Amino acid sequence: MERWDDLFERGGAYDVTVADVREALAARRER
Amino acid sequence: MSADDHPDVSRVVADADILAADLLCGGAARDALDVVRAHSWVTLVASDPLLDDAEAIIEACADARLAADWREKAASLAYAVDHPEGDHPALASAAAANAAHVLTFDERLRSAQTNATLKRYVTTSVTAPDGFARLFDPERVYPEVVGGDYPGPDRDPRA
Repeated sequence: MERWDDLFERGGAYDVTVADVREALAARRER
Repeated sequence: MSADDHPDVSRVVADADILAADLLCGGAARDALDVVRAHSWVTLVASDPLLDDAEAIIEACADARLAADWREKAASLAYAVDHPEGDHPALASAAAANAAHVLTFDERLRSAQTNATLKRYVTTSVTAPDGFARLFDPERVYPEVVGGDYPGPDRDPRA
């Protein structure tokens, strides 16, 4: 299984902000 | 379960925003979950609907392959619980596991009203991830949960 470090490196490549994450969760839960 | 039940201070629920931010953003979310990952006696609790929410966010903000790989890893770390369909995944996971901590970026969940409602079921504190880092002191909690002197972190939080 992949290391957390390697997953974090892949995740960091997308330049996502906390605001993006919160918006995505709000949109999903409002459905 | 009643409000008199003592919550398990070693059990932590991270809402889907924290789980996704840990992977995609780092910062306070990762600092908080590193504390969990670094200690084998601290348990991350999550239901399938909670992991579903986080996986969907990761897919929306990044890609499906990363979301699937994250899901496999997160499921291997988390203690799985069930709760009724339609319940709030983080709050219901905490109630199911009698967890002492819920981490979220959502101010509404952290409101006094929500905390009062939640306390009918379990004495859980709902905090922001930076609040958790201040609130949760492994050295203080260890003697209560495990017993003896705190030996320090016993796991690589990034493995």
